[in-house]
Amino acid sequence: MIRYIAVLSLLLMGSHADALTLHVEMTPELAGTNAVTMKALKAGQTRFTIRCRPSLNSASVSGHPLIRTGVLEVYGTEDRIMRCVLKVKSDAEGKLLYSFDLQDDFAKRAVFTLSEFRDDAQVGGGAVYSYRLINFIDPQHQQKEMLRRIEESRKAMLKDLKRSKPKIR
Amino acid sequence: MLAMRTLLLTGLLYLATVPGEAMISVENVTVERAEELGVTFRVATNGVAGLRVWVEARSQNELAKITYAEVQVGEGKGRIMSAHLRERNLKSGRRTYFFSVHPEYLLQSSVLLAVYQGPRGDVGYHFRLKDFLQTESKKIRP
Repeated sequence: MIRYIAVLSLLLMGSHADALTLHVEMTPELAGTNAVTMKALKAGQTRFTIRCRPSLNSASVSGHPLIRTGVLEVYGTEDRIMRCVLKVKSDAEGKLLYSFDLQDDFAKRAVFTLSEFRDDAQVGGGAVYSYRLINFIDPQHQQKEMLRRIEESRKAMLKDLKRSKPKIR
Repeated sequence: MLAMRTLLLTGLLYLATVPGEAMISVENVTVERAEELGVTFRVATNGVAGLRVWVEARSQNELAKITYAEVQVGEGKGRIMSAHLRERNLKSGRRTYFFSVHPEYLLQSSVLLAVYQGPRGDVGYHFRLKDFLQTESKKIRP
């Protein structure tokens, strides 16, 4: 009986295929010039345009429908404020264009994600490209944040040293 | 006199060639007007994503040529974001758009449907969600 169960389990496992999903966090270096452009608008607003070259096209996924979505997520200090699937345009070079306006404070916490999958009944597969806008607004933000933390810990250590120093009478 | 005319003509020609911002006249839509246009709104809880809002528009008469649907959060100087939404065509011939929003921002949100009106440009229909979903949002407890 156990043998039959083992064989059946193996058959079930073999009947379903999984695929890896490629997840890439895009940086200015990876995305290249003009991939993310910013134009200042009125009242502290900025228009972002993201240009990306599709990694999958109809020919490469023949026989399976291609599913492509460009999603914008805007975060507040704690929670997500908004999530929406964006309308896509394409330019003369065949690049995909996504455009949206964001208030400057919220732009730093916004993420655009391009997902490309073929609908082939596999779990996973395809590719996901994340554009954290802060990486494009201020490419040095990680180094700045690290320096700020070092400075904070240095100040805290000095404070502790002063406290622990014995008073000489 | 001739010099004056030439100068005026040159000025007019210059103005005609300068690219200008596309103008759009916007109508603030009331509940009654939305019914007339065939636009409906629905809201439901959507787990951690907050609330999901669906907008459905009848592709007839005034809304036959929708150029884009734009979601906006906040107004005027307090505008947080705006973006053009992806469109889905339903079998019923209606068009649908959706987005998810945090419950606190639902009533600060609005949707603009831009409709092509020929050489005159686009006409915008502006729907403030507080006019359409205030009652529904009270019923929903995320």
